[in-house]
Amino acid sequence: MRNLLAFISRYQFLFLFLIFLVISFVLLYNNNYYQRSKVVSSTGRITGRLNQIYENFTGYLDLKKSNEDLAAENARLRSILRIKTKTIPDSLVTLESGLTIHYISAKVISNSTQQRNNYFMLDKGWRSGIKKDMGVVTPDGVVGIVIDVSENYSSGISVLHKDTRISGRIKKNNQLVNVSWDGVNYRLGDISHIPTFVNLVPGDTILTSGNSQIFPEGLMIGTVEYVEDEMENLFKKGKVRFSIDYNRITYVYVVENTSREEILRLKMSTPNE
Amino acid sequence: MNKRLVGNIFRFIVLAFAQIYIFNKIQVSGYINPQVYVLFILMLPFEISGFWLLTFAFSMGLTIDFFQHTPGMHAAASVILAFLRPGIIRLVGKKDDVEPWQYPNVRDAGTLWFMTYTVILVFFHHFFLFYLEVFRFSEFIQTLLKVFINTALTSLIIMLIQFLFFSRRPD
Repeated sequence: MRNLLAFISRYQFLFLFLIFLVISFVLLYNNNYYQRSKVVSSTGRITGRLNQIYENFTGYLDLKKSNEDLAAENARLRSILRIKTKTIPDSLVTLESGLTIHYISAKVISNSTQQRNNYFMLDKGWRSGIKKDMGVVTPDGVVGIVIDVSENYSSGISVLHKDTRISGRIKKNNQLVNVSWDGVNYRLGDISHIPTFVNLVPGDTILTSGNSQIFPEGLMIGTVEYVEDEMENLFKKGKVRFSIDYNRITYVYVVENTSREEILRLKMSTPNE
Repeated sequence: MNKRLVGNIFRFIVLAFAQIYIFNKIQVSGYINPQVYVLFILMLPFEISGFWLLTFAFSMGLTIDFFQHTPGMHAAASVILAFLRPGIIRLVGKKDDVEPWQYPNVRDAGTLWFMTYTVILVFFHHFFLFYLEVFRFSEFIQTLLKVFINTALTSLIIMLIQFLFFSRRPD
C-alpha cells in the first residue's frame, strides 16, 4: 500500500495529466450534437449573456446593411402578401406542398466562419418556441440547424461544419445533391458523387430539396462555381458559391415545420428507409 | 506570491477575452486561426507545481471551449501543452539563477530562449488542436498546413505582446 502511494505521488504529474486528458476526451466524444445539450445548456446562460453584450456593441457597425436587408425583405413580403391575402388569411403561415411552416425571427449574437466547425448563437430560446433540430434560414439562403436550446438562447451548427449535409436539388432538372463544406473557403461549399449523366454546369442554381423536413423547400443554397470529374469519370463533383455571406448574417428565421414529427414517424415505420 | 497570483488571474481573464472577442473574429480565410490564449500557460511561473500547472491549463482550455462550442478540444490541447512544458523548459535549458515564482518572459529569458520555447510548445498545442478539430485523415495535408501557418502566426503575436508589455524592467 505504501509502495502504491509512493508510486502515485512520484508520478502524480503524469496521473493528473492523464485524468485531465481523459476528461477532455470524454467531453469531446460526447460533443457529437445529440448528447451535447447538457454542457451547453448550463453554460449557455453565461456565454449567451456575454455574447449578447458584445453583439450590442458591435451590432451598430452592421446596422446600415441590416436595415437595407430588412427593408428589402419587407418589400418582398408585402408583394407576396398582396397576392396571397385572398387565399391565406394568416400571413405568418405559408402552405408549401401541404406542409405547415412557421417562421420565428431571431438575431444572431455570436457566429464564426473561420473554424473547421462553426457554430452560431441566437437571442431566442424555448420561451420563444425554438426547439432542437429546427432549421435556421434567411430570405437569401440556408444558415444552419439548431442543436441546443436554453430558456432565452439557442445555439446551432452552421452550414460551415463538418457534420452538416444539406439536401439540395439542381433547380433546372430537380436532381438531388448533397451540399457540404470542406473547411477551406467559407464562401464555397462542396457537392460530390453526382452521376455523370446529370447535366450540371457552372452557374446552375442549387435549392433546398425540403426532403429533410428541416428547411423549407426551394430556398436558395448557392450557384455552381465549377464542376470536375471524380473517380475516373464515374461521378462529378464541384463547388457551390453560397448565396449568403456567413460572415455577416444578423437577422435570421428559425423554421418550425409542424408536420416534421409526423413525417419522421412515418419514415421510421417504413422499412428500407 | 499573492501579487503573482493576481497577475496570473488577470492574464487569464485578459487573454481569454482577447481570444474569444478579438482573435476568434479575425476573418481572413479558414486557415488563419491564431490561439494566443496559450500565452497564459507559457507565462505561468517556473516553480509552479505540476498540479496547478495542469489545473490552470485545463481551466483555460475549457473556458475557450465553452465560447467556441467545442467542449474538450482546447482543454485537451492545453493540457498536453502543460504536460510538455517542464520537459521543454529543461530541453531549451533552464536558467539556474531564477528566483522562485519567476515566470518565462522575454526580458528575463532573452529573445532567443523565449522564442524557441514558444515555437516548440505552440507547435505541439496547434498540432493536437487542429487534428482533434478535423478528426479525420482525409484532410491531413490541409490540416498540417494549418498547423504550420498558425504556429508561426500565434508565435509572432505572442512575441509582439512580449515586446509591447513585458520588455520593460519593473521599477
